[in-house]
Amino acid sequence: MAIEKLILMNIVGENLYANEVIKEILLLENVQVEDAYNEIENFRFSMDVTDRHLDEILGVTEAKSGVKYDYAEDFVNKLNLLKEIFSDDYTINKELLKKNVDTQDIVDTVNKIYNEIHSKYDILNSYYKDLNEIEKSIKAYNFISPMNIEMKTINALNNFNYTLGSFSKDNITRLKNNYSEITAIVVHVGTLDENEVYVVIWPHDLETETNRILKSLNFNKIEGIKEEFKESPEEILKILNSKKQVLKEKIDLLESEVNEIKDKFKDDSNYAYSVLHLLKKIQEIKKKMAFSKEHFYFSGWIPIGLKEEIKSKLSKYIDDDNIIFNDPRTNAHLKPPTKLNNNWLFRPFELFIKMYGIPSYTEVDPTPFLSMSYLFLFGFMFGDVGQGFIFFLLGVLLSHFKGMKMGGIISRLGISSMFFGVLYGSIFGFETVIPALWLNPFHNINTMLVVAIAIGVIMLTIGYIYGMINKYKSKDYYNIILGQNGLAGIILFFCLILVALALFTGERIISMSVLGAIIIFMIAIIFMKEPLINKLTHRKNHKLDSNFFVEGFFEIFEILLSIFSNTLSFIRIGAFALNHVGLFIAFETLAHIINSGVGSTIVYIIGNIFIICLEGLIVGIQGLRLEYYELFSKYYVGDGKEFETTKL
Amino acid sequence: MNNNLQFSSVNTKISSMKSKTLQENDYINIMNLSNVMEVLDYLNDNTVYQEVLWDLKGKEVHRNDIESRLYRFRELIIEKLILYIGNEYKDFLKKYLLRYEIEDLKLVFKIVRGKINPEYMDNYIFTTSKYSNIDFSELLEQSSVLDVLKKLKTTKYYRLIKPYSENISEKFNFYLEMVLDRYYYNELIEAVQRLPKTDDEKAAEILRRKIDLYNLEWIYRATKHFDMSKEEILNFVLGHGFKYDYKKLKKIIYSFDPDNPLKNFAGTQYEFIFNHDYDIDLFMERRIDRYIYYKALNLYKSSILTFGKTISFIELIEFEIKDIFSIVESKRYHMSANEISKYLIRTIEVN
Repeated sequence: MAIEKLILMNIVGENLYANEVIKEILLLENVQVEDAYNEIENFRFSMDVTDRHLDEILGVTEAKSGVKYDYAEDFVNKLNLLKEIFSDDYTINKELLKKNVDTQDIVDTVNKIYNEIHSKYDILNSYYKDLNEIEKSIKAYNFISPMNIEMKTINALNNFNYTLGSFSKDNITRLKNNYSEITAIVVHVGTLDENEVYVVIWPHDLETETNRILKSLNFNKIEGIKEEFKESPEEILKILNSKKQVLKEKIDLLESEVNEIKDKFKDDSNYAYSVLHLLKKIQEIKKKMAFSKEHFYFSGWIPIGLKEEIKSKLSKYIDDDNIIFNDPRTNAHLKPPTKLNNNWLFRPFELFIKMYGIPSYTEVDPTPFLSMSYLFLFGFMFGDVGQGFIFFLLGVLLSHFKGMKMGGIISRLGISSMFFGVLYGSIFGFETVIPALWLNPFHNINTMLVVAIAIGVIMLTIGYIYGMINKYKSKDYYNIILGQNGLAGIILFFCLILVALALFTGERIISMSVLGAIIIFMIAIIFMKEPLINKLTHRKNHKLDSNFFVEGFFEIFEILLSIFSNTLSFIRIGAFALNHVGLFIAFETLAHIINSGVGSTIVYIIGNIFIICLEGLIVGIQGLRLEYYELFSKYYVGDGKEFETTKL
Repeated sequence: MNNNLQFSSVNTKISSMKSKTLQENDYINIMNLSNVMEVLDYLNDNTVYQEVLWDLKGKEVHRNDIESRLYRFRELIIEKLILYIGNEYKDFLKKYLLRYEIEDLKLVFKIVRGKINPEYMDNYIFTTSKYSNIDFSELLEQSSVLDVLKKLKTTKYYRLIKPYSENISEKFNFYLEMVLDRYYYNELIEAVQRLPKTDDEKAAEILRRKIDLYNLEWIYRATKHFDMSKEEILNFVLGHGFKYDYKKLKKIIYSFDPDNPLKNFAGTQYEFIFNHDYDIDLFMERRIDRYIYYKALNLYKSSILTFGKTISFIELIEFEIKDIFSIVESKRYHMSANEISKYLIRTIEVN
């Protein structure tokens, strides 16, 4: 549970089997590939040194990075061919890939499919092109359709030329304002989108001038007028439309033929696609490997539980001794990535952890504590059977239909809210329907606030303990005892709480003078921590100058202040629990004022929606704030890297 | 929102930003430095431009680097102002940012057409703001003008550029610059004229005067240096000028004599561009900038809780950047501070 144990796996094998080995690794989908060449360069690539592996060991010295492996262009080209024709979304079929794959066979299949379909496909494409041209012409001739003259007469004009195109509104004004100087005749024939369409006619002799003027007016020529059409525009349109009809029929026919062929090859092509995709991935992984003349070198992180499975899967290709495992527990210089592994209850909360930062490999996974405490805090502040149920439903819907990770969190929060709803006896805000198993927050304001602080003290204590465990794991032994979040800090924390307890309730568990002495002693320890640790570890002594004392003073001041504020900060959970009821009371009063069955019901419904949206959001944020700020600062660093597996 | 309150927050922000702009002694200091590196270090160590120049510190830099970074600075300022200003004004300020999108677009076409050696690509950074919807890295992957255009199909640029893309001639770049710039100024001026308050006309005036001056510069240069018909010249003038509308410009174009430009402007407000015996061409742009600069300075000082403050501040920043850039440029020619000051938009006495 929590952070999964990982192990670094180095594989040395014969180049002959490289593809098969990578394929097996890829199919596991549970390996984070490391750059093997980099590992070798940095002397981290360890292997068994025995006589039997002399070749492999010697190979290391001449190994080169696989980066130079070309980008599998062949496969990519073939993949694109398939995509161009089928354009469907293929699914990668892993089961089929597990069997032996004959690359040549696949390439042949693709070629076969392509040959069979490609000539038809080309014709189809040329039809599409023709259709496009015809549609353009129809559009163009439509603009001049009222003109009752055969186009051949116009085309045969010796001294004049014409064109069709559009101007923007702004340029039309410019054109109009300078009609007298323009070297062409312009006739308005229609509108296209936001632009005005004109026929422009000019004498041959003024071709250059006209063109330049048109260009300066951002004239956009409309394509589609062609010499080959000689009839009057109206007749041309008739001809074009019938051509279009014929062409469309041809396209339909051909499309259905192509589709038939596609159906015939559906499975084959899907298989080919899967294989080509696999080959492409293999090429990508090769870039991260190193190669000598005869051997390849692979390096990657795997979950420790996968060790035997991988060994047996690769045994066909590689000697057992050539798969070397390197455990980070025995090799401190290895920096493994972090793979979070939590049960279904806690898993959605990994989202909150990732938002803050992944724990490093040696840290304790904070997810369980964060999940439990967050659930508790939220429920405590937002305890209501009815509203909680709505949250639950909302969460289930979100995660089910939208696939949102947040949905998992919301539904769990809903359950927690329902649980506290039972304790508070609150359903949709009404406190009279079901009996409270514990208490009604609004009738026990002081109890709520005191309990809130008590919860804070308990949670902070757990935070301190977590922090000490983390320090132990990262071998920061001195800080466990002397640090502000270590033993010294925790004793200081408790003594201050006892003092506060004594001041407010008169309850003296330990006499004040003893407490005072302990507090001063602890402050002194924390204050002198650096020089003390240096002394104990025989490092160079810390300079005890004025800087040290000023810094130290402010540090202590900050520590005391934060103990005080972190603890009081938890009052908010009591306050929000009250607030939750308070908001409802406000709506209840409104409902009473309206005092009509329908009106009051509407107010109750709006009130509940309002409370769920606003209060739910606020409470969620406040809870997260307590987690991130008050608690994480005690024990969590979160500077790890996530375990990223290579997927097919 | 209350009329006056609407500008109080943005004006406070502007005052704070204005206080961080360069002071006269900063200009004198950088004019006296001996090379580009030193200017860069000075800007990094002593000025707010560190925000966009910090990563160039200690590096061998090309002038283009500094120029585009400085423009990025102005863009950042506009982006910040957008956050502080009322909704009606946000859209207008976003139009200002179009300019950077357009400059980047021009750059894309230059690169795609192979006019820029890919080796020096690093000297050009794209400055487009977060308000742009264009994916420039995608455009850069295209191999021809038509491909780029295809990617722009859903934008307003498509219709503008398409007429010139069919057969790409040497003049493609010219048309591209002309239509895009015209589009930018059109959008900007139309937006400024839509602003709701009567006071905003003063803010619009400064931009519309700029249009006037750019039009006159265009007419002068095009008639004198370009082989263009009067109709073409007229078609490329910008609209919405303050003193010169289309009709007046038409009259000027058909009677303009580049050898005696003063004929049309004697006694007008814009006489100053042409009433010199020599160096009309060399100093024309600086004279125009200086005129607008003082207009902007004036507007800045006289605007109390109006939009004029915002618009004049944006213009002032533009001139500051232009001046810094002139100084950087002059370092190449080893000019003395005294000489450099002649090319600056602001007047600075150098002893």
